[in-house]
Amino acid sequence: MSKHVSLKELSAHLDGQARGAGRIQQHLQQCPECARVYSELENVQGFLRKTPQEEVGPGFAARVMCAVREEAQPSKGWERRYPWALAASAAVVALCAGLAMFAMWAFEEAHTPRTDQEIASDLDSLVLAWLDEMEEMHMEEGHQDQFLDELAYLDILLTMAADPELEEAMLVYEDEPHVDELVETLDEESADIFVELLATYDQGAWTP
Amino acid sequence: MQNLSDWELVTQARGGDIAAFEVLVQRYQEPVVRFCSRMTGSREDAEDIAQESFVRLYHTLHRVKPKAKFSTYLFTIARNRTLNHLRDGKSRGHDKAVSLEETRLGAGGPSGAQSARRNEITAFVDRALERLSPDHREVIVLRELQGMDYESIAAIVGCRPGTVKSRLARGREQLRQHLLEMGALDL
Ligand SMILES: [Zn+2]
Repeated sequence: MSKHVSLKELSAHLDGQARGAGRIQQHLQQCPECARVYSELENVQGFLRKTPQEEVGPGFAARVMCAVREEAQPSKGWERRYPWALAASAAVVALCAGLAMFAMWAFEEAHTPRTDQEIASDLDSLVLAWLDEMEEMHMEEGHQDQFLDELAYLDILLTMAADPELEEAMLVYEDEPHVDELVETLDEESADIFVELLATYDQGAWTP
Repeated sequence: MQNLSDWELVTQARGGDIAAFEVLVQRYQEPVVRFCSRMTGSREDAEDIAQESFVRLYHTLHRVKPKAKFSTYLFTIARNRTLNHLRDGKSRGHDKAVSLEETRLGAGGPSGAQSARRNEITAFVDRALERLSPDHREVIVLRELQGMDYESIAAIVGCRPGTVKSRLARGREQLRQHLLEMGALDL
């Protein structure tokens, strides 16, 4: 008789993911010891799969949509979600409140055919995403003070907001960090700023 | 709109069609709430985390690219939120709506008995899951309660499929012992 099948492979066999399923099947027919372990694993699986579905009432979706609608309003969502950031410094309030105004102005200057609402919403998402990241990092390590230093990164967001092409490039970069290809897609001025931003971004220090 | 694929709905929602986003919420609310419920052991916390996850999803719609399965992306968000919640030391299962004792006492009438049995299974599963580390718990929940394949689970928890395989094996073995101790496997 072949040697016993490991727990790992028996468990994978349960999911049809084991290597050498035929060999395992054969062994299980000959080896009562492995067959017992396998049947116990089957029992556990069977039991877990009896867990009923959760009943989610219509109130849930309604609450989510309500929250989404509220937070979709420009420059309100993140302030509510990050009260500690507001409490941390008045500078944050000033910076962030000015952010949307500045971006709208910048976009108008660039003659971008987008509505104010779209711009504000884009910017809001960007700030939110960034704050989420920062929050996770600092709440975890308990370094909230450092957060304030990193507010300087808002400058970068402002620069990005002033150039939709640049903003797009930065977002793409986060997913696929191939600088050269990206830089080729930008005009010369944007490319320079972008490379500078990336240097900052990659240092991980978030200082301008 | 109900016939549209997940990614088609994402595209519409990104274009400002909030009704498309609502269809996504309705489509995924049950699995997401279920995942969070089994992870935290608390239905109340689960709804809060699920709500946060959908809101977060909404805010990141413009950057998500239709590379993987949509559900993988959504569950990655829900999983991260859930782990943050657990890490913050918020208690697991103390505000559980239905305790094991209550379900046993509360069984009356035929339909009452049936729903009590369902509650009892859920309570046993939650108790057993509570004893696993989050690493093991999440792969078990994604596999056995969400029916996901190894690749999707690996993408969600950020590890290799081989790691999913070993965590599943260890998680199942531990669950077996816990469920045996509780006498739950005879149900
Ligand atoms: Zn054997």
